[in-house]
Amino acid sequence: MLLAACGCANDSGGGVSSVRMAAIRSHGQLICGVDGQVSGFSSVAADGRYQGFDVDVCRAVAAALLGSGNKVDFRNVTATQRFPAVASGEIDLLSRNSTVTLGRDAPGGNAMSFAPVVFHDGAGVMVPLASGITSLAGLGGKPICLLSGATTEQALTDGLRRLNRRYVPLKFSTIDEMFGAYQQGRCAAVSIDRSALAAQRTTFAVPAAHLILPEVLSKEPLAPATIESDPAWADAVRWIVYALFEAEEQGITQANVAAKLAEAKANPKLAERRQSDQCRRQLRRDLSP
Amino acid sequence: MNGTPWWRDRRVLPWLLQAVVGLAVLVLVALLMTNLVRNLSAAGLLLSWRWLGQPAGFDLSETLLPFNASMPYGRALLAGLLNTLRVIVIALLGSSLLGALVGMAAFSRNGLLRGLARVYVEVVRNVPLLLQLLFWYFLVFLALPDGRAALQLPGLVLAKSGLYLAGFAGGSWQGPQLLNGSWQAPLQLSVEFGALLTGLITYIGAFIAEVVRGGIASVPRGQWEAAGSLGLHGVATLRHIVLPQALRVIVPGLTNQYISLAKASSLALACGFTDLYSVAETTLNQTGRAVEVVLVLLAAYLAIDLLISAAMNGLNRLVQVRER
Repeated sequence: MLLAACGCANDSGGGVSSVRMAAIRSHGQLICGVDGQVSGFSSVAADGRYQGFDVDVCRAVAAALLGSGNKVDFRNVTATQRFPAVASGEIDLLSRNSTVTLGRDAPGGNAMSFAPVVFHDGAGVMVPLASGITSLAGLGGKPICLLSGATTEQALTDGLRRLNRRYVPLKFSTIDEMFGAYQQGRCAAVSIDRSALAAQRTTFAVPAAHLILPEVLSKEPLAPATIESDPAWADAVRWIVYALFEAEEQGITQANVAAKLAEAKANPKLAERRQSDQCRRQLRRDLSP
Repeated sequence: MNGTPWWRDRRVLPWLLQAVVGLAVLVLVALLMTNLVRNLSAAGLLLSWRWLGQPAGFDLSETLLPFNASMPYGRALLAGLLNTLRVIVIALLGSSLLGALVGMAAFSRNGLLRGLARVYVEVVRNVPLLLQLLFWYFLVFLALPDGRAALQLPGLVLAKSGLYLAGFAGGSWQGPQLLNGSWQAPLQLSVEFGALLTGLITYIGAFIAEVVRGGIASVPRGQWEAAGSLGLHGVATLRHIVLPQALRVIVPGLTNQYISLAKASSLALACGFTDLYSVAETTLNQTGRAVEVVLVLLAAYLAIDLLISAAMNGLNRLVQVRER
């Protein structure tokens, strides 16, 4: 819908062929990997629908490719499963608050192709207020609950190493188990992206009894990812994300998209100025069937 | 030599058949391997082992050999393997002892003891192990009091963070001490280790109890009666007459339980314990070498189980009746 407003979608023209996009079209659904347990990013609402920021990215890609934001097959993937799931073709798109790193992008590592950064996060630490800990240095020698396989683990290790402190890492495989152990008082602190800390804190019985420490341990640029061996598909996702940025800047929403489109058609010069030439050319190439 | 044609020759045919089957297996394995390598290289992933020597960048809790974040992945995996072995060895001894006691209790003249043994076996073996581990960890061990309120006995403290035992440290006998709100002692076991161990011992113990009960039940009733008529009392009958005969039936069943114990130990991550699987998962995530890390895991668990099999087969030969 947003792309229709941008005027770049579904134009005919010769293009690069994409195995993955052909498969998605014939399947009629976009298979999108999400976390499913992080409030605000991806979680299941009471009516069974997926909701959140990561989920919206999946829906936008489905809308651009298949014409409807509901043509998405959501799959919950754990931190460990996520990249192999993309590499094996089990999921088309990974939109699961994943940090862009060199190791994950490089062919010698996970060999992912990352779309533009959609969220700028940073690793943080949360402690119970009652513990009296107010800075990272106070955590030396204490047990800290972590998510197995998240980048925050390295960030925390590095952060404490700079302070010449060691800690006892207690690793869990899901966010729920990790916060469960923290709330039971097994760990002096819990560490993951600050967005996830803030979101999860709202689900606690007494959110105000927990403090997110001021230290930001790392830069965690979060971005959707696709398989590296299909550059045309990666380009399409990249420019769909750019189209979202553009729509946000110009105030285009689902409610006013029809009016904006009519306005643009009535006044092509205005529309021409508004959209970036590059965007139009690129998308025409990428989205051609 | 007589005139038997080779296709009916008992000396040729078995060898020929074995060669054909062996060749078929080799071809199948080669096919699977080529398929794997071809698809991996098509996806731009070739097997590489360089990552083993790169610094891990993550820390481990409770290791038997010194470890810090600047040491290589290979050493992290080794530390994980040692933790796995530690769990397996202790759980193996514990579940054998528990299983033997409960299995024998099934033949007790005390009705209450018999009933308790039955209830324990039926409840524990019919609930999934993963659920039991979560139960032990979150509902039992993490519900323990901490700090000053912890359970304290002379030379022993059981707190939310772990079990602390007195021991020799720096040449002198030291008991557990409370320093800055956390306990310190010469010997420490974390609650994660405790929960995993308790879960594995009670679960596998229930199966072993059934194996032991079956073994004892296989000894004919006449053997008990004969021992009684010789004037042997209950315990002596069990020890000298029944158990030596029952062991022949028990040992093969035990082998299965020990092997499944070794495999079940890989559920450690559910209660936060750093075993081989947990380290491998972090390694896989950071390096992206999924195939290589899984191959390491497969090889390690296969080796552990083959070792247990070999040892138990040796024990089995010892307890079998030697017929003359």
